[in-house]
Amino acid sequence: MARLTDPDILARYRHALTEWKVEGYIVLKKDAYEGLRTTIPGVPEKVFGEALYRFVCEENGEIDQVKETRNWEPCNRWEYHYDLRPTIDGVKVYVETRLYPESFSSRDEPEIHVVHIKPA
Amino acid sequence: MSAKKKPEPQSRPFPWLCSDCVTRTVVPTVIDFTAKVKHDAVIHELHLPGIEVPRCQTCGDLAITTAIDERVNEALRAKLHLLSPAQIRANIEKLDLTQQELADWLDVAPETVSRWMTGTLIQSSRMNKRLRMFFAFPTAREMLRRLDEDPQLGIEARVDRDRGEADRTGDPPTSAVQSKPANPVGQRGFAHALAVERIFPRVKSNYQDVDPRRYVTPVFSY
Repeated sequence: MARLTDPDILARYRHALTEWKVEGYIVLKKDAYEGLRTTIPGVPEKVFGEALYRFVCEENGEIDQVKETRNWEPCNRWEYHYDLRPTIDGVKVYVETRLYPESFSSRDEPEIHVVHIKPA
Repeated sequence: MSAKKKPEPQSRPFPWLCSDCVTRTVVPTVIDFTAKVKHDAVIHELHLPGIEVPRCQTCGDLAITTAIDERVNEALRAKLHLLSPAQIRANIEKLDLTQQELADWLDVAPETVSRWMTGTLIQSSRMNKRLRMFFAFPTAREMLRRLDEDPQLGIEARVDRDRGEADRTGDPPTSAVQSKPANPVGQRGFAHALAVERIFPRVKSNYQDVDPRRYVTPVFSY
């Protein structure tokens, strides 16, 4: 686990977060959504997206780039996942995300998929 | 005056990517959706039949959008009788209050009131009850005003005997003493009713058939 410092990946991660108002740039899977609604109940999904944006882009919060070692699907389809630990509504939460596309050669716009949320 | 129309949330065009099977096959699909959400430390399972949810056509995985989150919040509010942001806004307007004033009345931060009004925070059931009481009863607002004016209020409990309240001094409430003959409490007197209630707190309907002395004094029948 290491802090994400690669400027290209960081720029793409930030780019996705700056689009937090637009659906489809920060995508919550159902498990992550239920994690959000049980870990920080009362905080709507749109507020969560904004909180991630503020944590990374305004507060320079830490993003951990984690080499994926879990050898089961769907984790093994990804080379890395990215962990954040922001404090939202007074609660420190663990947020596991995936950044698409992983390849720099892709022309696709970056997007973040939130796969897991739990208390940090 | 025309009502302001809420802007539709912006969205990337479908199909979206599914991060589980890494295919771009996520499209809005009408399904029966169930979500578990926590409120006041209790987990509620909410069922939303026939709603449109972005779903992967390859693996069936779901993505949750703001619109779905709002539907979940509506269902939670309906289940727990929580005031909606629009209802809170309308009541504040009707009472000609500012957010700051309501916050002062309820002893919360003005930001909290603002977040209730915009729907970015769902009020707790306890706070919802205070809000409903505050909006519903002018007497509740009057009581809060009086509490603010007189810091001595509440230091000593006041008993309203005309309403049948009793205190621990042993004096019976006026209504119990002067009750009509049809009232089983009144037929045998307050002390009897009190004794029965202490012994049988859950079987008050049998007041007139029970002689509490039988149970207070041990009976040996050898």
